[in-house]
Amino acid sequence: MNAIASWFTDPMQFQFFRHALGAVLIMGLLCGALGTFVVLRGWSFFGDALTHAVFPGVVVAQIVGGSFFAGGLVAGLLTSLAIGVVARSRRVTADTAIGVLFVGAFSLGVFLLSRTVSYRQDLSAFLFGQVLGVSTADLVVSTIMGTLVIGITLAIFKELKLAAFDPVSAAAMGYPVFALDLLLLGLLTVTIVVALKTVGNILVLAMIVTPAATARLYAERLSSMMLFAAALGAIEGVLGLFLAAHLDVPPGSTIVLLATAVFLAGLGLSPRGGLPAYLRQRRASAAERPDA
Amino acid sequence: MSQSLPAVEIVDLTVAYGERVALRRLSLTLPPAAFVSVIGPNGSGKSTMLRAVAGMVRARHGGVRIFGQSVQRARGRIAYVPQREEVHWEFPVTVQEVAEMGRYSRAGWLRPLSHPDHAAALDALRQVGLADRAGEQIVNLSGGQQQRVFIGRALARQAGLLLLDEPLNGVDAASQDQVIHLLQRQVGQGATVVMATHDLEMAGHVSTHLVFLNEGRLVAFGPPVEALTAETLRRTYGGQLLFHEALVTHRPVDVGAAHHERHR
Repeated sequence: MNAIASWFTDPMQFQFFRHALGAVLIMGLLCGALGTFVVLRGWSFFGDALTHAVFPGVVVAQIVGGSFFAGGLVAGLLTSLAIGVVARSRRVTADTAIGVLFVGAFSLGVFLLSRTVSYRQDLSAFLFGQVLGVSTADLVVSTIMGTLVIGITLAIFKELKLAAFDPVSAAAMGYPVFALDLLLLGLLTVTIVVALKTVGNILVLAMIVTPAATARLYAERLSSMMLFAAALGAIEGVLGLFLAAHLDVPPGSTIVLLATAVFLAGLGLSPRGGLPAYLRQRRASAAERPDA
Repeated sequence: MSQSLPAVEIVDLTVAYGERVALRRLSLTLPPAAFVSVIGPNGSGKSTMLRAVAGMVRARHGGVRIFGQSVQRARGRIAYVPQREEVHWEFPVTVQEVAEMGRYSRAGWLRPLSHPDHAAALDALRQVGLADRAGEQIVNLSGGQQQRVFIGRALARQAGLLLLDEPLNGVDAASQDQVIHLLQRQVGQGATVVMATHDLEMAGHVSTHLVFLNEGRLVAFGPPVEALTAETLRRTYGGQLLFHEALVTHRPVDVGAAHHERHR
């Protein structure tokens, strides 16, 4: 019993770990909640692209000593806008525009970063996160942004639900469906910037998609799926951080690996698609065969 | 309600998507408590007409009035049932939640639904015979039941004008009958129903008015006895529709002989 307690309390004596814990908690909640919409709308590719788009922004912020959050937000929103404009051309579909512009933005980030002295160290922090280097200021900004994102999402929850389930009827009821989509993308951009510090550019997509995909296997309502995904994201983040501390491995990848394992287990045990359904089917077809 | 005003008044309406003109100078007046079927080949402008009436596409020329008001002002009195392919059926929502969506605009932004809203949604489900399925996920229902839930949502909205884009597609015959019966009941209570459909025979039997469109132009409009003629069918679909013309002429069809005739 004591061993389990100290497994959790030992790392807590370090301030940097307590900060990391807070950051991971916010990241998990936010990513899970917003990831619900990404998974249901089939926006994984869009989410992936957004994570690349914010990259040059955070690099420029780092170089000029500006705010990490502001840089990422501006770059993400600018690139999203550019996508919208380019995709208006009849010869360029939206996914092509995304493919071209977002990876272009990412390369711009790498290019800019390569001009700095501490290139390698910075690149690795950007790509894989630096959760153990979260400052008190970072934590405060993350908390404010996270509260704002969750608050807005809950405030327009029923409108988001309608526009995602049945966009044509939503438009017929007079809802600004396109503006709602843009708002959702804006909220997603904020979520990505908040998560960037914790799990890094490469891994943030996993935290957006994986807990929500796991929740999707079980939830029958949007509200329960969102709650479940947020809780899963937070729990996986926290457990992954402790695991990483004890095993002395990088926290970002540990968290993502844990989330992936939980998803695979969830898939296996899911009442609709997994092992139970498979066994049910086998038993049913065995019963149907006359010679069985 | 203002029963004397026309339910839908379309005046010289032209709608275009980019350079493609989808509706050309369409003028129509639909009376209240009418059951209107909109008929035409794919791409003839059926969906565009419904979308224009619902205020979802901008008119390049002309306009639409609903119960004597602009579409914007009459929005609360319009309910729209989209084509099946336009709905994400796999989305995790229950039947009750879908019906409640009919109450969203009444509740307004930033406000949760009230008790009367929940009650109205359940009552609407009762009217379409699906109250016992309220707690189930929409994806678990059959195509016909899903269509009935959407009509229930329109009832929860208490709309006087129901617009349905091919509500009979992908629905078995028994369910089609149920859907039509539900719509007829609404018409009996004073609502106006406008549905796009490919089912000429059904439309001829149940509608009070038929609208025939081809390439965005009005071919014919009127009660079935007047509008549904062999000439209308030829101008709507181009070429001959042997089986469907038999609906009008009530003569048996000999397709083999007709083909023989044509190929000689």
